[in-house]
Amino acid sequence: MHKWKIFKNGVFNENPTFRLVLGMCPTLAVTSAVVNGLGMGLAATVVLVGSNFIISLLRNIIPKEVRIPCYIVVIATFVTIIDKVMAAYTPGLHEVLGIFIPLIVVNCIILARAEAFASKNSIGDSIMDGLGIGLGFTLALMLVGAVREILGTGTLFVAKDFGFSGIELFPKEKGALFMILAPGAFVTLGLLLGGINWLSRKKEAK
Amino acid sequence: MDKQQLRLILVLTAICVMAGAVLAWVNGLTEPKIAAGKELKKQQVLQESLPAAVDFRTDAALLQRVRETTGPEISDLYLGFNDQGAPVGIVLTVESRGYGGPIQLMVGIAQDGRVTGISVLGHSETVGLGAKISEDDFLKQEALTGITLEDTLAVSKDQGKVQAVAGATISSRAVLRGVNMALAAARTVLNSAE
Repeated sequence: MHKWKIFKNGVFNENPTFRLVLGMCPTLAVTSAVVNGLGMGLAATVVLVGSNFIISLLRNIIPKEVRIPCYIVVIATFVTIIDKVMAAYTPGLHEVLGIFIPLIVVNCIILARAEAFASKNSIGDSIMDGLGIGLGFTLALMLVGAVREILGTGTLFVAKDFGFSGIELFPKEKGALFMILAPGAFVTLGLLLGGINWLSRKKEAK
Repeated sequence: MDKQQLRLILVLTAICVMAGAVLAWVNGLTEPKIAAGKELKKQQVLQESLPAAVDFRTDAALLQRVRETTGPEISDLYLGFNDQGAPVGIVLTVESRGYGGPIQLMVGIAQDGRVTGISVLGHSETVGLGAKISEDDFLKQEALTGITLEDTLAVSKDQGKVQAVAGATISSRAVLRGVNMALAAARTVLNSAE
């Protein structure tokens, strides 16, 4: 029951995008389509679980004065290993997700969870936290991606690399290019953040 | 130096050494597989660029000459031969500067001057925008099929016929610049061969 609570906490109460407002750089950059958000989210989840596991394992060995460089080394090593292994054994998938992997190193969610959670909690709890936060991040990216993809291109779930041409909701020509470009990302994220704050305030007031 | 300071140095050094060792081990394990995968992929794209050929050979002296006349952007040159050993065309790889970094292109040209294939080998353009240059919607559009050696390509913004990727004119222009360069290089090779 305790583990489930940690997981749920990561998805909802401490959702990295909408609650902690962390990792804004990948959120704005890769959410032009749902599938891109899904790819980035899953890649970040794998790294998050791995780095949380190792940092929790080493939490009693790492002196607090040098913890940040230690975390960075662990995270960067993890990202590089995943990049190499994917390139070697799943080249197709690597080609699709390849651009997201180097971006994970600069994703501050990973470092934030290492610092705020994994360095203070048991290995099992840290893995659960990694899964919860990772899923919360993935869902948030997909939500932003869905809004931008629909308004920008008139389609949903386009995944050309997997041979899926998406669900067409209205003709492509009617799409607002603005939504696909960077300003569309800021506007979408701002409105979603505002909407979620409004909803949770209303819930609290009850 | 007291014991505490020594401990900081030792732990950080140990973690870095361990990370280095793990990375070296993973690299040794994956490097040959990655190289083999890349080679296979290259062969596939070569085949797609010039379907008539069954055998591809490099020619260092010719590449050198092409680079001198056309420019250093031409990074590779393959001569294609059919199963009887007769030359059927050439494939060139070109590097063109895009929006996010270099774009590597492969252009196949048949012996009679028809362009048989244009493909993007690698790029670092913006996801969802410039990255669409590698999709068929752009590369297989009408203005890019059935072109020959004598053509010079331009996007519609530059009074050409090619439809640029929406919101990614710089990336689209970069692709066309690369293709034009490949065509210029092919002209020197094929015309001098006759």
